[in-house]
Amino acid sequence: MAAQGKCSVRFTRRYAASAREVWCALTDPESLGRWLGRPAGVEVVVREVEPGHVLEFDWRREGEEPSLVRFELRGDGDATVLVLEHSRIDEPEGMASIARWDRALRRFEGVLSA
Amino acid sequence: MSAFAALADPTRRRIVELLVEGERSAGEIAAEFPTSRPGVSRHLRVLREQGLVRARGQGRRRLYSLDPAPLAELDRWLARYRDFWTNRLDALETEIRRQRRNR
Repeated sequence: MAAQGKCSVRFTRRYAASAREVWCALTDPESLGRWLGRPAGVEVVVREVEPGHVLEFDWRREGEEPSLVRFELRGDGDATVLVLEHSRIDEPEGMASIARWDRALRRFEGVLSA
Repeated sequence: MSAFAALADPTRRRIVELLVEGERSAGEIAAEFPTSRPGVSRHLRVLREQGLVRARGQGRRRLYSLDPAPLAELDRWLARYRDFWTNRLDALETEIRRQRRNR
């Protein structure tokens, strides 16, 4: 089987609060429990913490290779920009199989018209 | 290569954007890019291999069009992450507000 590719998704948000306030809401255990909760079937393991700037964790969903979730904060005037990157996600099975089927069908077409 | 990897290339994304407007010939597509014609052909071949683009012959011309199926599949996949994280980031905003109120 060919090695499966990896994908990532990135989201950028701007919050009207200081980086310190966003960091507190992001990481305070009670607050974290409310905004992230306990995603079903996911084990979260903290990998890197750079207070006020970076929070990174392993995202281990049952039945999937672990992926990586990283939050980065930076001040922007009175506001704070948060960049969330969820990376090393297994490329969707469906996408790969569509391409495979399409190629197979085209070869089949080639055989028919030969 | 996957459909994702195929779309990671900016020239190929631009070709897809062009084909959203409708079917185009290879020449019309190539005219949009500073890249050489063979370069554009290579990109078209990759897009066809990934099932993103279809080609048909019309006289001596080859006409290219989008195949929406893989793009719809890609969007469904993306929606799962988009919905999940969008909800979480909204909830984070609520927490930031709550923190301000409680201060």
